[in-house]
Amino acid sequence: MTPSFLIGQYISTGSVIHRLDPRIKLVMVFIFVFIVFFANHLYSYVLFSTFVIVVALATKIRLSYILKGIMPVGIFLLFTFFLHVVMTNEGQALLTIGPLTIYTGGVIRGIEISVRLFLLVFFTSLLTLTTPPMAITDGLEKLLSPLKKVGVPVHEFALMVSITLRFIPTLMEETDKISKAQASRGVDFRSGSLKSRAYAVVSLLIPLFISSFRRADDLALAMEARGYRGGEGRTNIRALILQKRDYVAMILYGLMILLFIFVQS
Amino acid sequence: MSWIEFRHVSFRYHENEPWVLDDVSFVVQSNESVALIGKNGSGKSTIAKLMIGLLQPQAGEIFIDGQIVNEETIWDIRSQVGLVFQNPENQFVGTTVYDDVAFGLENLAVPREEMTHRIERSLQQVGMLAYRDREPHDLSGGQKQRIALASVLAVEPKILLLDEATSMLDPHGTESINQLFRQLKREQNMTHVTVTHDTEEVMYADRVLVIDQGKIAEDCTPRQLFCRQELLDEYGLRIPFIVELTNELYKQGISLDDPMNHKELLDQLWTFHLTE
Amino acid sequence: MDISFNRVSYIYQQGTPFEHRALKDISFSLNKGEWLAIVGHTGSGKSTLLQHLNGLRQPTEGEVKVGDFHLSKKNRPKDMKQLRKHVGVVFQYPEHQLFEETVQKDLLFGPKNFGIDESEFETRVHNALAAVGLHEDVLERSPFELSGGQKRRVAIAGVLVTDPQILVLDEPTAGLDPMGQKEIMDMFYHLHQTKGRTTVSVTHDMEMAFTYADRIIVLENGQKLIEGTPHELTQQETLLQQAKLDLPERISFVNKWNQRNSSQLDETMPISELAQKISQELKEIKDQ
Repeated sequence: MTPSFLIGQYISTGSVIHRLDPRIKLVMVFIFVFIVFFANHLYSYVLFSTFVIVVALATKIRLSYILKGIMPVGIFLLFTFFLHVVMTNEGQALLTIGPLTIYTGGVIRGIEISVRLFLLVFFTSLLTLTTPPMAITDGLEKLLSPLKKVGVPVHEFALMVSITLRFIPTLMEETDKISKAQASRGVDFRSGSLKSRAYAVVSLLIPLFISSFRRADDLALAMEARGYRGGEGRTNIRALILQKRDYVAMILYGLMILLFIFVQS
Repeated sequence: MSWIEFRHVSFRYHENEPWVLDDVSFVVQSNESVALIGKNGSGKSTIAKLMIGLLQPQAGEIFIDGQIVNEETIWDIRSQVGLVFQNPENQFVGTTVYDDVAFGLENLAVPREEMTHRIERSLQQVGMLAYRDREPHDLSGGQKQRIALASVLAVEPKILLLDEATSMLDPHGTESINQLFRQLKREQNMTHVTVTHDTEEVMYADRVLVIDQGKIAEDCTPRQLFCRQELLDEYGLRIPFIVELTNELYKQGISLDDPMNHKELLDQLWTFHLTE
Repeated sequence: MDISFNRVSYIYQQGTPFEHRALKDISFSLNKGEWLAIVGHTGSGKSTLLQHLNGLRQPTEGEVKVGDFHLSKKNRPKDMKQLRKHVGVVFQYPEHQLFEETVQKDLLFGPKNFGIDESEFETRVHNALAAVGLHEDVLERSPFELSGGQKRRVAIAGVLVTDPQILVLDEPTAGLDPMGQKEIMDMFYHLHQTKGRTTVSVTHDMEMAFTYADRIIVLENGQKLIEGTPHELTQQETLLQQAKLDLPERISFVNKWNQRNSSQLDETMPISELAQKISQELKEIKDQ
């Protein structure tokens, strides 16, 4: 059971991008999200596009998969594009349809915004494609760990996320089983009146809730039996230690940003 | 000194409800292997949970190696008693095999070097080292139970507690866990307690406690239990084929020395006819 | 209703990197009133096969016929509900499908979905409860306050209540103690015998397959490895081992005994008789 689109789905190829420290990758994505909105020069877009494509190739994941994965966002991109085209009243008028007049400024802004969003989504999807969800959680936990001092439950939050991730496939399987069982008892999830479909969903949700509660109960017992009593005084098996490749990646990324600043000014 | 002792233990989940366990007393010696059997709902799983302090009795006391089980001692007790539960899915905490085995060690604040070492050793013991980076949804039920066992072994407990650990597995998974369990019994000095309704597994225990309606109905050896058909019927237990055939052969004047499997039975029959 | 599978294959997620062929070229047929056991190890494809019996899945290749219903890649019966009304499926841990406030409402879930006439509700509920051996006192109770064994029975009654002509069983006794297992299986056997219901049980329990089935199909890696009567299967120990399946203990022992002593003991005889025969043969060997 795999979702039909690839957003957030990890694909293992063992490339150098996969092996980078998740913290490095997270920080890079954060910085990218920030700077991409400062880009307003054609060369900046060329620079970013080249950068993103080089990284994508380095992941060894087929480009068509990556693009297929971000397709659902395409609709959103188109929508933003048209919104800008229609709402902007700058530059020369290009054509008029009824009450609407389209200006060159609108088209340019539309393209700019779409390209920015596209780059952003593309780069972020590279993070999730090359980093297992658990590594992202680890990276976040480590990056946010200074917040522990001011009483933010960073460990508990990370554990919560990791347990959620761990049980997603289990719950998907469970949903599949229960919906099959109810379908065998004559439920039709696809057609019927709104009321009968709502009832169909209830016949799926209640068993699912009950089983999730039972699992949560069992899991809590199992964790307690294995000596879990909160984040205090625990050690952690997952060590994140920066490797040579991480430093190299940081330097390359820094150079890219310097180049960007140079191009912009 | 005894390893596990129940002294007049009574337990129920809520007031006004019938007792799940009613004045239960027994002792399990160090390195002994004991099977707790009984019908569904007889209270046998409650005993396992009480031993590790997941439940507290309303009356009576429980001792693990002379140390009373209570709020203050449970964390220490839990590092000495390893419990494998019934449902393979619901006791897998980590996102990968490796993380899951690490979980208990992390809780005990074991230093990282030591952890790596212990995780590898325990995964080796259960024959799952090659699966260290697998995620739980890639594993069969039997494999998950092996990991659960490895997680417990990594903590190096003195008592190993199996609470119907094979009842949700297919025959293949059941057999692999049972074999592993027997091997651990031979190779390691540990006290073993199995809560089960699998009578095949009972054959390998030193002693059997039959639990019925919250009380210890019988405390005997597997052999004694299997000789009494009326007991087996009363508590809803199925007699293993080997034992039943051995009993029937005895009625035919062929007395054998408790064969445990087909090969032993055939070999004994062979020597029997030679010496007779 | 008869069932037939004609060169059925099923492929999961065809055309993706996760593509997986779960059933390969399966053919068999089953007559009304027969009990067929489909045996296989976890991952052998038996669950996928089961889901073809009431149209939860459609074959990627080949054709499945259940009575007058034909299922193939292109052909999905329009009256799928009618098919599902006639084919009752008891899934593993069926109590997980309970959801209504009362047992009565849960039992009527199926009949309402299938549009069964309300005037029949009372007798149907009555019969279904009787079949699973539950008292009518439970009707007004919440299914969630019942014991584990009772829940299982209510869930099974929820399938029987539509009076299906074909009963499909997917490990219906998983997690029960030996006594509970025998009670539930005997109950299904009784329904099979008295009502002439066609029964397909999907299991990894050879003991169960040998006790109840007229015919057994062994699946391995999505392929049909063996098909035969329980007696025919007793001679296939090596093939079974390939599918990681063991013959029931008694049969495997009798096989070993027969091999070692080149004798011809019948594996179906009661154990007391078996012991007698063995002791006789031992004496004969000694006398020689």
